[in-house]
Amino acid sequence: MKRILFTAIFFVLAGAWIYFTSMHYNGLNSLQNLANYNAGLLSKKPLQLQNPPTISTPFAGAEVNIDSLGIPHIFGKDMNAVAYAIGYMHARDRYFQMELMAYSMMGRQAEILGEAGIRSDRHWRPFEMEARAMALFDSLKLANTALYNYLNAYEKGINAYIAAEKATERDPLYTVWHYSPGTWKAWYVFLIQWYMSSDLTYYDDYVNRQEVLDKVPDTVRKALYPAQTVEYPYIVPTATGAKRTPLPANGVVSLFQPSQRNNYQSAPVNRSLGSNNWVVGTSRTRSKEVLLSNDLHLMLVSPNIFYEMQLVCKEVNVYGYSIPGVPVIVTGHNGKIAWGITNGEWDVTEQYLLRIDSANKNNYWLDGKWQPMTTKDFVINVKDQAPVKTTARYTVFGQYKEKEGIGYGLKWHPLQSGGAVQAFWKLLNASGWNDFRDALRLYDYPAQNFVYGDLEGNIGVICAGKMPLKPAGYAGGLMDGKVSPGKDYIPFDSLPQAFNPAKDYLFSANQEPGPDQYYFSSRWFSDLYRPRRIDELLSTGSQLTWEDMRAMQLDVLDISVTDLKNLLTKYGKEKSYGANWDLLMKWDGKIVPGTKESTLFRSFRQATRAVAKEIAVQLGVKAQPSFDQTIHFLLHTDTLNYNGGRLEGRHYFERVIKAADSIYTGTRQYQQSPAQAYSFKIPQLTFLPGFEKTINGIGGNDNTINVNYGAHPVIRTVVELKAGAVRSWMVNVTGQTGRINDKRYFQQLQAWKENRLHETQFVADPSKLSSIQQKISFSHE
Amino acid sequence: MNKNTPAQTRQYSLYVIALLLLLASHFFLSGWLSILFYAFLGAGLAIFLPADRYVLVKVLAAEILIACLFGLFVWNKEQLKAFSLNFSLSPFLIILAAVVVNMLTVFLCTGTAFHFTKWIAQYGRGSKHSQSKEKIKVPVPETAYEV
Repeated sequence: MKRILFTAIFFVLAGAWIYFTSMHYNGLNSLQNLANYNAGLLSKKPLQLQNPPTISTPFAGAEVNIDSLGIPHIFGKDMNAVAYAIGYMHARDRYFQMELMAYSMMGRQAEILGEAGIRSDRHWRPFEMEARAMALFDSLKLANTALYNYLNAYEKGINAYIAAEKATERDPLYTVWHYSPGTWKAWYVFLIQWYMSSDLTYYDDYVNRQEVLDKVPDTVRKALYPAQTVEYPYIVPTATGAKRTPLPANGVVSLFQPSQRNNYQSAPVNRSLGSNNWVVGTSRTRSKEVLLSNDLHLMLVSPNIFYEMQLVCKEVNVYGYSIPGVPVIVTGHNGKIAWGITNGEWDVTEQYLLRIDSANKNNYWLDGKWQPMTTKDFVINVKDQAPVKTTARYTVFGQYKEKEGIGYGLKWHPLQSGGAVQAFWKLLNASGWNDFRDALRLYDYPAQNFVYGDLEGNIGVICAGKMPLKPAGYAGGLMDGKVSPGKDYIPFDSLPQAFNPAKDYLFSANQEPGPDQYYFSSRWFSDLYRPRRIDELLSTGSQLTWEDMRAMQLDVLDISVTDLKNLLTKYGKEKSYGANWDLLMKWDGKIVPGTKESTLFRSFRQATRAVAKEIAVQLGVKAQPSFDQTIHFLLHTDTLNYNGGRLEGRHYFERVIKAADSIYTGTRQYQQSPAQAYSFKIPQLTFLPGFEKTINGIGGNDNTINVNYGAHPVIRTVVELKAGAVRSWMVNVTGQTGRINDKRYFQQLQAWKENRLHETQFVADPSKLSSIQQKISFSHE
Repeated sequence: MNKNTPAQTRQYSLYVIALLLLLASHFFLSGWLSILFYAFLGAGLAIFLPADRYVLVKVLAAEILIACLFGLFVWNKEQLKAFSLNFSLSPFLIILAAVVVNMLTVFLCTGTAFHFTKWIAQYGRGSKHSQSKEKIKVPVPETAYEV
């Protein structure tokens, strides 16, 4: 009996243990597999840095010199040899990241991440990017044969590395997600472009905007949701380019009645995504050179999306940051020009309000008659689970979407073309402003503000991208789906651009391109302070050096503090708001962690946002005014009357003060340890629990040049263009490698925190390189 | 095994063989194959060492020994240092987690098969002839070596 009992107990325990430890929670590998000595996490080893034997390639030879920061300097005999070597290096250091981005856009993320990817796949699969990317790539064969061959060589380089990689040296993320690397296809390059577009220009807040347009009277809207800002440093100093659309006004719709409730669940917009760039002409620099600076603000995950490299062959010598999966330089320089980018935040997602036939929900009204939608079924393969089916309906605008009773046709313009890759490819060997413009003629999405500097001392900026023409009167809401969509875009020559302006500096910080050019974005360019601060520093500079650029990138002075002081002066004449606020009156506004003032100000910002929400509720709308606009309203408006209501500045300011005091008092941990108030975490790319890094001691918020809030300056560059020579300095928040088991994974983090940019080794001769740790040679097979 | 081999020597030899097989399984097997192997190991131990005591404890000891060998000679220390440096994950805890998972798996799978085999053997012989360890509290010395 005892034996039976023993056997039964063991059987139950073993069964339960094996069952639970063999399960794949959230798509992750099972505990059994992860702990396995033979094939689990412990069986892996970091990539070895010894020089491998010469690798045979189908292309002319190349040599990769990898320095101590893991930066490859690729010297090839021709462009294809270079592309092959880039592919090899991208695959070596970032293949998991590349595949994840490409699969996400194909709507096949669940094949890698399991159940966690289903939601994303349901959204992206109906865009049918896989077929579109293939078609675009095929069209390159005739349109740009050199680029077609270049991308094919890149594909071969990637797949050569993956095929030759030892299982023990494979990125441990493949073990963690129990997934094996697939084969790379040359056309994935377009998927990566669309991935960036989805990150930077896919918006879903049009219904909320429409509600504001429909319900909020113009006087209130101008104060709290202004389409256009005044007293504002624009990207292009004087009005150039397209201001208004030539289309008729009948494309604008209304949706909400004054008392109608808005139940639409919009996807949140990350206001911190953006970037800074600026270029300073010779009259403002100490040694009469051109200085160009760029820092790109993205949601910070590890590894960072950017990958530093140098490409040299007879056609090009170019240095800067690439995106794994795209073998070009997106921000950097060659031997003659330099460029930097910031997000345009253009309005290239369009939602067309449709009239649906009540007798047949599959019909919509277009151009005077009912039109049937087409339907397609998709099967989403899910790792560890049965496939999931999803069905999409399509209109002439694109996919039909319905949420909370609002149905619209979705047109996402970035899907219509893939010109950015061609533009960056042309930029690699651009040698002057005309070449730069010619390259950007091809540029489409995500729309970017390109600043430019060259060895001749010229500076410029082009807000590049394909901006669809909108109906006159369009102010950021839904569009009319009863008429066929327009097919025209603003011509390149009409886009906002400037060359050698009188003030001899140019910059962009995601603000409005030029006076009266709010048309470009329904985001309504709500960030007022960051562009002003950049302008303040550049306009007063006359003897600037690259070190000044570096210092500017680290700037954490929030000039909205000046507005807070003005508010305290305006409303606090008759009464004191307390010692805390008196303290802020003496403060310089530098968001430095660990100071009481910074912690107090954080509470003030939170309180302002909470009160902005109250204002939105009072107005009966969902979209709340931005922090910047709320401050602007409190500062410049005493009372706003509207139909049946009244907004009083003093009342709301006192609400802010009260809420801020309450938030500050309630956050004891920040009072005891004020540095925590500005700490943040860097999650791992797939949000693996335990694989995140806590960062302290940086400071800044989303109004400071050194943005540290919802997004962070993931890379920073400074380029100096001086007669005959180009020098540059760069830093990346993580490291070059994307392998979590490599000690160099966060190699540049400390330097990034302090903005200790490394001077790049931009050489034409590989023998002049120093600190080379590994050499990989490729020879023609 | 030679019938004339002294019992204790035979036991040691069997344990050494079991240890080597277990070691080899950690080198070459994973997933269900590992579990199947542990089950065979348990059954084998029950067949070849029916009267020995603390067999499963000895298997656990073998697992610890194997983990130490892997820790000393196989697992890459650079990788563990990197995990510690990059994510503040303690190398000791990473190893401990893996070792505990493997030890429990081996213990439970081997134990299940071990007791099951003994039960079957007992059932086959009838309970009167059972040689379960409960009945044999003290092994009878077979040779002078054990006296």
